[in-house]
Amino acid sequence: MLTLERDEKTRVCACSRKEFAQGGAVLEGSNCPSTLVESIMPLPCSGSASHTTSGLARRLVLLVDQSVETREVLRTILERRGAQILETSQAREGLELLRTHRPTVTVLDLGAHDADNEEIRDGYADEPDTSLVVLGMAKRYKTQLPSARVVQKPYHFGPLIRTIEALLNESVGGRS
Amino acid sequence: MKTNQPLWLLVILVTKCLDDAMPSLFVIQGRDQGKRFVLDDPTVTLGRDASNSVQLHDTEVSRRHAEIHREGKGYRLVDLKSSNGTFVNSQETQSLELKTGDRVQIGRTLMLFTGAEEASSAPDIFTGVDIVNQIQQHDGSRIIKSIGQQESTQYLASSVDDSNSSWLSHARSNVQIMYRTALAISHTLDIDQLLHRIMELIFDWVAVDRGVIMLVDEETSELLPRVRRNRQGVRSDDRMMISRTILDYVMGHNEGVLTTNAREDDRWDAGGSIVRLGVREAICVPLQGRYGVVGVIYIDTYTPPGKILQNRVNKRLSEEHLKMMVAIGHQAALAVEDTTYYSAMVQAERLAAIGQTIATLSHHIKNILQGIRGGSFLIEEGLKDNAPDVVGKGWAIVDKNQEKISNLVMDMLSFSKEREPEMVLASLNDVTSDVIELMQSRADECGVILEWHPMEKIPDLLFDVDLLPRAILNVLTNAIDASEEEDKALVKVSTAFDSAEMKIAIVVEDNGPGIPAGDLKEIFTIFKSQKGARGTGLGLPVSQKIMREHNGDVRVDSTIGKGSRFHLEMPAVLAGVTAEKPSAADTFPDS
Repeated sequence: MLTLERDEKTRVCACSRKEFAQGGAVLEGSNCPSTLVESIMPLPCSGSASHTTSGLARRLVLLVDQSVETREVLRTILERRGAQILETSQAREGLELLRTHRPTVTVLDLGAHDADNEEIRDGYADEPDTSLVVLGMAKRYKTQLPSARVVQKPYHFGPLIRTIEALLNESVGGRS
Repeated sequence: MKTNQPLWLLVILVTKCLDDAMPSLFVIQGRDQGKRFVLDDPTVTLGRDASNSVQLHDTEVSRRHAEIHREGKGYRLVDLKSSNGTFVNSQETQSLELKTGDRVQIGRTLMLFTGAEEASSAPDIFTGVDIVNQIQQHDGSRIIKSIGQQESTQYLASSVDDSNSSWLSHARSNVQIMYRTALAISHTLDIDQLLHRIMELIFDWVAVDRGVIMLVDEETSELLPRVRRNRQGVRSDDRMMISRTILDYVMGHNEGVLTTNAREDDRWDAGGSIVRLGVREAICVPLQGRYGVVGVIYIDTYTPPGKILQNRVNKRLSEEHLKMMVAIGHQAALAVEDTTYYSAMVQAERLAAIGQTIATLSHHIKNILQGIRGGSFLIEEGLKDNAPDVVGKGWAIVDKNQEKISNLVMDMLSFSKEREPEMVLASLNDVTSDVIELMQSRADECGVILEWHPMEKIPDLLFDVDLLPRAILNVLTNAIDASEEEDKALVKVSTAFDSAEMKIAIVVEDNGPGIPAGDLKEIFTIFKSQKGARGTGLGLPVSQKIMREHNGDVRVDSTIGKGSRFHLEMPAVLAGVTAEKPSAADTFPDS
């Protein structure tokens, strides 16, 4: 059972019980309540992606963004395209999720709560198992990441989603 | 001569306070006047080129002119073999550790350095000074004479009989003129007004025909007349021609000059212009400030060229006058500098405020734009895939952001306008109820329970039915946002009417985390949102402004861990009754 401390509004919801997280964590839940602020949402049953643990893990996206709307837009579209979503509004909590679930792609909004903390930023940058996409502008990421993965605001969602999908596909194609 | 210290100290003080004691360079003279450069990197380069951290728009500054290195807690200025040199407090330097208050001059740009604030090593002055009770301490001191400012002023201004001593008479006259100069420069922050006063003083003091004060134009370095005056009877429509020879000498040598007969003065032979212009007596003094000559004062007694040889006029200007004029010039220059730097500071503050406003609004608009783009994208994708649920989600996001931009614009308008409320007879409960209804969906979305407790039998009152709802809306929005993270988030809204005091109140109470005492002072400060990216920093200031426009105010009680209570209070104005003046101190008792 996955337990997320400190934030009772971070919940797990799934169409059915599925093991998809790494590190032995099992997500358990019911239907996703629409009022949840943060949720961990596995792929709906109608999705085309494989529900094997490894397959799901490779298409797991972590969204760390203070904006509920941005998370909703990305979640809606990415889920429709076969990805699973972990989400939170807080950078510190996002880092815990990142370390626990090792998502394939992490989208980090630099405006998220605590995202201005250097230690936390270092934490995201130092995780080798995830492809980081940064929303907002910070010098360090500009030099560390390919330009497509540093997205300045206001941005269009189309190119951002294409970037995330490309990273997910790369992962399926064998990239770590 | 004593400088006009308080204003100068104010400039340093304001400069110091601007950015939490971050070391900085403040441009007090030059094309970039008013700009402030924070030295937040270990090495800061100064130069004309855009690649410098501090780019100066000054043709006399080299492309890469100098560098400032952080050395421990200090800062060292190093000249980079610049063409025109680097000066600190008027001394050329290759490398020097800077101290707060140092004046750094490169090219024609003069900057004031302010270092990082350090804890004072001076002993605590409060420990060394005691104010004691005279009786307790057996202090035998007594007052033997007291003198007020008026008496002191009269002493300097009165015409005591000095006929026995011409020296005393001169001395008193000189003290008077300097005293009056000091008064003149201390009462204005407008340069033209200041110069007019100086010129008036001079004309009252000495019998000259014409006078002009010229200041150096910062752009061109040319002297430009700012104040001109003619004695009564002297034609004022004549063009006043001033000898460039005199001006060049005064500016070049930084000396005041007196000429009583231009033709006999060797210094003017080369130019000969005084003879041509017909000047017989002239005094021209530099306006010598702390950092250079800011201009000149020129006075003369004029005789047309044809009359120079015929008239025998007694000397009207003497060396004594010249000395006093030099002193007046110096005093005036200090005031001009202070006024200029003060204006630069005000301008810098204004620019900073405008910059902050633009930056804050851009940030909010950017977020709203981002939301609209997200909503539109979902609509587009939903239509493409024939997925009505996605279209619905997208539309909800667009709709919400439409509301956000509408609120932002309304708040901006409310805040920017000074206006009298349009008083209309209306029901306070109905208006408040409408706001609650409007906010119900947001409260539901955030999982916040909204409770409404209207006081019964409140008579219809006069208030602005457009403004008051906005004041309530902003406070209510704030309460919902504050409490949404709570398990049992609850916001209560109530109304109250005090018929004895003739006051009304709308009270909005939440069970959010409460506001720290330190933040309470700032919640009504524009653009100081405690809600991070979600807040505009406009809501509460607008509510406060609206309530004050109604002769009321907003009062806040807050307890950490328990929540906050906002009281929107104002006088109750019945139809046909004139509103009383505000009395924010008289408030409802806490409910």
